[in-house]
Amino acid sequence: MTFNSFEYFIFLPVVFVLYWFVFNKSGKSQNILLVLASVFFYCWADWRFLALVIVNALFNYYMGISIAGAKKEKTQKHLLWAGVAFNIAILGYFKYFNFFYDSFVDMLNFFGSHANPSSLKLLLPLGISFFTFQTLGYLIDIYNYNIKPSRNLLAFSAYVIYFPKIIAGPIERAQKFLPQIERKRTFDQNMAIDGLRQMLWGLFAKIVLADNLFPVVHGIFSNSGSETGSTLFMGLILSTIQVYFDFAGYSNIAIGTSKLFGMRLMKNFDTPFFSTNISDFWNRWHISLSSWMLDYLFTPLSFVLRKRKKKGLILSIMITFVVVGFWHGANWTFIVFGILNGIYYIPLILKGKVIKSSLGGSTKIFPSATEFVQMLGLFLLLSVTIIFFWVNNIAEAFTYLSHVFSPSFFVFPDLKRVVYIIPAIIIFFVIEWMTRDKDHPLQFSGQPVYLRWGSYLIIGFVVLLAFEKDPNAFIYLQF
Amino acid sequence: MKSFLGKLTAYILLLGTLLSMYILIVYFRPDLVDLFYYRFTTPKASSLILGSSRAAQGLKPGTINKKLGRDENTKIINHAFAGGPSTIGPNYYREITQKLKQGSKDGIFIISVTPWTFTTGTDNIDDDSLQFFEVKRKLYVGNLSSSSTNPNLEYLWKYWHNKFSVFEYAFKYMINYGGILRLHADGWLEVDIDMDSTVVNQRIKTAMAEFTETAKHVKWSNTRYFFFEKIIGYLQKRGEVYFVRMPVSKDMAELEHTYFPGFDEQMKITADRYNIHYINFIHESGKYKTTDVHHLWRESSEIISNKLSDSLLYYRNNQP
Amino acid sequence: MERSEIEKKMTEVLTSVLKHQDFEIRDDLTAAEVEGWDSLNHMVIISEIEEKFDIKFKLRDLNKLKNMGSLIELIQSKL
Repeated sequence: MTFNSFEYFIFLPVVFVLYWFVFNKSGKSQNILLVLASVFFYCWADWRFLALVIVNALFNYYMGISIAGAKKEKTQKHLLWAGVAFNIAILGYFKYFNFFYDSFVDMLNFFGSHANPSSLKLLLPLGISFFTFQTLGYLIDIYNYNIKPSRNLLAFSAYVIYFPKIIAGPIERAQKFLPQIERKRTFDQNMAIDGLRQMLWGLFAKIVLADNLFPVVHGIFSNSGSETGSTLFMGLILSTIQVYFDFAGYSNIAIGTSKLFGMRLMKNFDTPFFSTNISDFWNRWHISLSSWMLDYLFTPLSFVLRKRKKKGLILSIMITFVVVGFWHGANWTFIVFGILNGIYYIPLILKGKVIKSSLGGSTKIFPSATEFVQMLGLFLLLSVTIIFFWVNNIAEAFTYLSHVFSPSFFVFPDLKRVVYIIPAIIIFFVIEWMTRDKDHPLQFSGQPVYLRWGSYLIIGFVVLLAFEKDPNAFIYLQF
Repeated sequence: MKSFLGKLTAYILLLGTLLSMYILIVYFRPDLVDLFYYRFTTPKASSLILGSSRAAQGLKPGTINKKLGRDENTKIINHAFAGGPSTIGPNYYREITQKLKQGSKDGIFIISVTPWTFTTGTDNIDDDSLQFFEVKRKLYVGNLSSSSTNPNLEYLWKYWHNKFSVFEYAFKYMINYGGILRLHADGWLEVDIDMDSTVVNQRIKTAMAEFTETAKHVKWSNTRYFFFEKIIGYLQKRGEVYFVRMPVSKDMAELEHTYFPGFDEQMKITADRYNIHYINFIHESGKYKTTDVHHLWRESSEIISNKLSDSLLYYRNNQP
Repeated sequence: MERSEIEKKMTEVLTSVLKHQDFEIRDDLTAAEVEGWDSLNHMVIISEIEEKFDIKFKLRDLNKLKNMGSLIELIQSKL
């Protein structure tokens, strides 16, 4: 089941009613329902890997208790490594086996001996990258004394499989999430209404914008050989925007859904395209992943390499981003995506300080000219990396980019297929700019009732019209 | 919680009202949905024009009704769709039985035949109906519980893919955008697009490349022919059946002659077997303006519809 | 080592890494308030501190740091 499917809008009200009217006696009964509903939700999409989620929950629950209970520091360290290895082994087996096997075969063939590509085509368990990283963070936090292990298996299981985030995040931190799920939740009307509004905004980005952009971008990419340079350039821009609408929209639906059940998930996107430098961008793009990488990978790496000063920093950044890329999928294209993003950091590190975004908390009506140029430049640099989400191999990306910069770059692009969507995109970003200090744009404060309700109705209506019963698979689901 | 549920209910009701108003527009203007929907909202008829897009664009029921003097009760409507959905087969057969008025007797049925509507992309030419494109994709033709309800909510729910079409129409109307595709109540699909010769030639070029490629891969399907005969048998109990082969562009006529050389002969044999008149315009291909490689321009449609009516009148007045 | 001396040395470290002196060492000072002291630069500063005081941190200790006060306490405990 995905959030933009018809079934979800039957599932969600049913669970909502059961949660607040039937299973509302205690935190325990609420969690029983959440686990049951989440199992149902997960199995609806793909029942084959439910066992994997259960193993993840049980293993890490007991591992967490063992790490905290070990007397000697050395034992703790060994247990942590065992836990990390186990989680990564499962992820590696299901997600990366084919990649390593095939790359190995390619290498053998390169050196003259012949081997056959893998015949074992493993299916990717839904959400595995998300829930594996979540529990890895949990174990490391326990080891670092940042949190105490959970002693409530039911609540911990709910933490692992909680349906709003099981498929595509946010990758929640135990520190923030466990306290919420371990106590009884009481209905908070303001929070629930805010959740609905956030869902509405997410549905708009996902169903109206991303799903309508997808065929346009897909068309340009699959026909890139015969498009003009200017159309390919447009494709470059739209593909980046599509990925943003798709994933940010999905995250908003997830976070909004969770608010209906009285639980806050972490913010996942914070108007990333208004960033003025790369570091700023990664503080605001897929935050639950980037902050995970910062805390559990970059910080330890740069600690180990601290004696090498700037060289150590650069090395740490590069390793971190190769992992970020590889996290997205078992393909060289994602690794290039990571490497490019890492390279973008190097000037910042050499300059000695990471410029804090001047736009973060400002309430200016317009950005300054410099900021605007920086935003635009950064956006273009990012599109060159996000193109790797859309191509099948590295060569394809380079061919695409080289075709952009051809004489036909100066031909008027084929705008016919985007007549309606470009104004919608512009409106989206204008609204996002004006409400950038809010959690989401529909968080009205003080506006008259007709304006608020008018917005909800228009957006809801447009979402209804754009709704397709057979939606495109969400692009991040495969990660 | 109470006020939350109250607000939510109010919102859902208001949204429902908006949606009902939108459907009300579509109730009065079914042509604004897409190029097929209108056909499923008009009343059942006793006489039908059948076939693919060549018939949908090329044959005007209004012209034929006037010439043949058919009134509101006996009038012919165009119930041809397009190459994919209304290719002759089990689905189109079901659709025809559903659109026809029950117990009607003296109908006229004009079946526009093209070699393409008898082809299949599969290897098994004898029993391949389950692999037909329109069957596999569950297209609307033959898959709705009613073909004559306004509004046809089942169609709107299942097959209305661009639900912004009403706004799109309003927008195009406001900016006076040329190039209108409009489905009329009688089923004629009016195509009023740019007829500048360089644009048309470009369209012909792209379409020819596609059709040549398709022609190499498709095969004659015995299953489709089986359903063709089934349709004929069904219709002959309810009136007179005529075959017509529409004129196309010169390029297309040549292509069809090259890849389907025995087609005309096959149609003649079938017509003779069932005692049907085969009105063949293929040799006049190139004489009438087409919008692309095989669709008649709206003024050509008027001419052909008149010519066809003359033939019908002639045959009907000279019954053996 | 006197606390004031630690603070003095801290100022020297930060000035040399960040190339400015727009901060005032006090117990509740956090990295976020100091321009340039961000997650990227953090370990460079840590490494400079280690050299200046001739001590060695553990990553686990650093994870618990909340502000300047706790950093100074940590340094003291290592001396």
